[in-house]
Amino acid sequence: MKIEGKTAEAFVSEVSQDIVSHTLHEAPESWPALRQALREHFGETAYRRWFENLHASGNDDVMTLKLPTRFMRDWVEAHYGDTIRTLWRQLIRNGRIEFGVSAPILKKPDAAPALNPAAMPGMPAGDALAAPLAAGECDLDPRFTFDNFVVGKPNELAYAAARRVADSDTPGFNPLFLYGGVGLGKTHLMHAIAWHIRRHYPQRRVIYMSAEKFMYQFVRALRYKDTVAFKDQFRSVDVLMIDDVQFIGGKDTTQEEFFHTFNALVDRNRQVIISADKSPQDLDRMEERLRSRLGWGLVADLHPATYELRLGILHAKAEKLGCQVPDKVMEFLAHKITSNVRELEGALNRIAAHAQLVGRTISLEMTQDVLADLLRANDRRITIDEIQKKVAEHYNIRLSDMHSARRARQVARPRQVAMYLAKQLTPRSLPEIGRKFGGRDHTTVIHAVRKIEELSAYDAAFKEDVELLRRLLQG
Amino acid sequence: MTQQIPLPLPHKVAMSADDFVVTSSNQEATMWIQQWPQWPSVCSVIHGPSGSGKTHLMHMWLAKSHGKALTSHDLLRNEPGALIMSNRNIAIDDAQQIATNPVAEEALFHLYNALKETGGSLLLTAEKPPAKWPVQLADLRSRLNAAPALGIHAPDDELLTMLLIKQFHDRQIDVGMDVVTYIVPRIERTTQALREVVNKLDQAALSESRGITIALARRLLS
Repeated sequence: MKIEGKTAEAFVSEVSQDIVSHTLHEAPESWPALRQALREHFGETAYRRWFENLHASGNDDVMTLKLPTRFMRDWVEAHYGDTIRTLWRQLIRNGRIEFGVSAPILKKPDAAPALNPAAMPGMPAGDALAAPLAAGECDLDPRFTFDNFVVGKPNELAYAAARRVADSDTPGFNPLFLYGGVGLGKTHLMHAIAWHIRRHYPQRRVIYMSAEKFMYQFVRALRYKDTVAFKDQFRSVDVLMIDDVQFIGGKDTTQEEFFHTFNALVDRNRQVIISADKSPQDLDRMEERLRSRLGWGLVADLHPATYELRLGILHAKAEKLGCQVPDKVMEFLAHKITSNVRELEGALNRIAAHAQLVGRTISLEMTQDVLADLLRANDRRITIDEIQKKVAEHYNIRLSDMHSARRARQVARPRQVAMYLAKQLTPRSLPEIGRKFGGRDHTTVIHAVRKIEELSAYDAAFKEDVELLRRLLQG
Repeated sequence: MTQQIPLPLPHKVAMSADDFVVTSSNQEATMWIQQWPQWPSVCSVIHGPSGSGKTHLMHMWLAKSHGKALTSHDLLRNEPGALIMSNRNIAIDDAQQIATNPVAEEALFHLYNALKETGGSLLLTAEKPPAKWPVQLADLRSRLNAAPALGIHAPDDELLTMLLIKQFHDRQIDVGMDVVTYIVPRIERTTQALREVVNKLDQAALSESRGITIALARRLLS
């Protein structure tokens, strides 16, 4: 994925550089020597904790050392300041040091590099706040066009009806009533109709609004005794679309007003398009006369997407996002996320955004990681007992060997793996983990964790093995 | 020996960006906040255990986006249209509370739609990702499930060390690094446990009028 000519990797590495450190090209000449001195004086651990992220600027006479946070600055100055200054004066006679904060987190929004809007659609464009809910016509989602609607068996009737309505100037059926479960494309089709008309028949006036907004505007009009203006906005309209009409269920005055608006438009042969989550006769807390009216025209439903349609949608979406998604990942998503199209697309969005953010290539493992919250049925707490059991099974040793004093390699290594996983997957303290493993000391646990990290660093097969166990345990 | 009774003096918790400690546990969430306004969708969610820095990140975002923090109570009292009149960017802390309250769920749903129309952003924080909230309103559930959810992971040793120091620092307690390195491997690795330990040490040190040392930590942790 490219961001204004930069690769995602370059972009991400810039961002992370911003967080943890800064480039050193402007550093004072003797700064490397001081760094070396700090490392020798305080030792590797303290050096890494406090001084690795120091950003030096200025010159040898007056050098400013900046730390990532205010707290770190205070701490370093209070605890290490004198020593640092002494070390500096050994290098530069009369050299001064000041401490500061590099404060990288708060950047001005406009300083951040802009993502390519084509790659990340749905971005807020410009200042759209002007009169947020006063005007009747809302901004349409630029992604929701007919071209972007993936047609399959479950939605072909609704799609055909929407196309027909968009292209005819006299209503063939009035109203067009689209219904289906959440996230199956009702709003998409309505926006597509509006886009199509705006583009091909600009003289026709289209209003699209959610039922909630209709209600909000109406209630406000009542409050300010301005119902005339409210009614007026619908008078000259050629196409009125009301989304999610179920939300006026139980709101009697709003229903009444909606009923009149609806009738007035239909009587004057203007097109009305309604969407809801249920068919007209199944709408809850809706007046009978309104229910029956809503069913007069064409009622088209959208069914949940089939596997093939889901796969088709993912392919279309990935192409729009301009990102490389392996087929395996597509199939996995189409197989796993069956609830609705919004969540399916949302999942792909999340993976793409994540890949861009942390510069990871999209793979099956990465997908499972990023979407763990959606994919994992439960996130119960993992216990140390479970870890011991799974690890013992995996390496084919006895469970009792987890607690035993035996030191033979074939039991000691699995035990260390189990300790490592206990530290990674549970919040238990190290002494507690030690106790669970036959009353061992917490330093033994620390040793085990280090050992496993070391082994993982150069033995890819071993690392995979441990990862597999982690996945198994996380379910 | 007479014991001094310590007055419960509240300490000021530093909440600005300068005070946020970034480590591998929260790096993704932090980067996400930094990326605003280039978010790919209206709503983003940051989730993680209590005390893991969600509220801190939220305040950083509010400062950056000039947004407004709402409570679930605000959602119940006001019309979504009125809520975003003056603010196009909204954050709700502990947002999973709205789940199962039908009025609040619907209010959040309309707020989401209204923000989508005006091009605003919505940041939610919660302990769990939205997929685990018992949201009843299907329209809302699918929107939340489609939102990028950034997890803050259980703190690693590095973060625990930093947080422990920060806790002491927030209370203006000066402790040696030896005490910090003694405590970290011996407590439950949650920010909650960390806070409790600092509290206990603070109380003990105050009431016994002594400094915080390894000996004191050893006594209180055993």
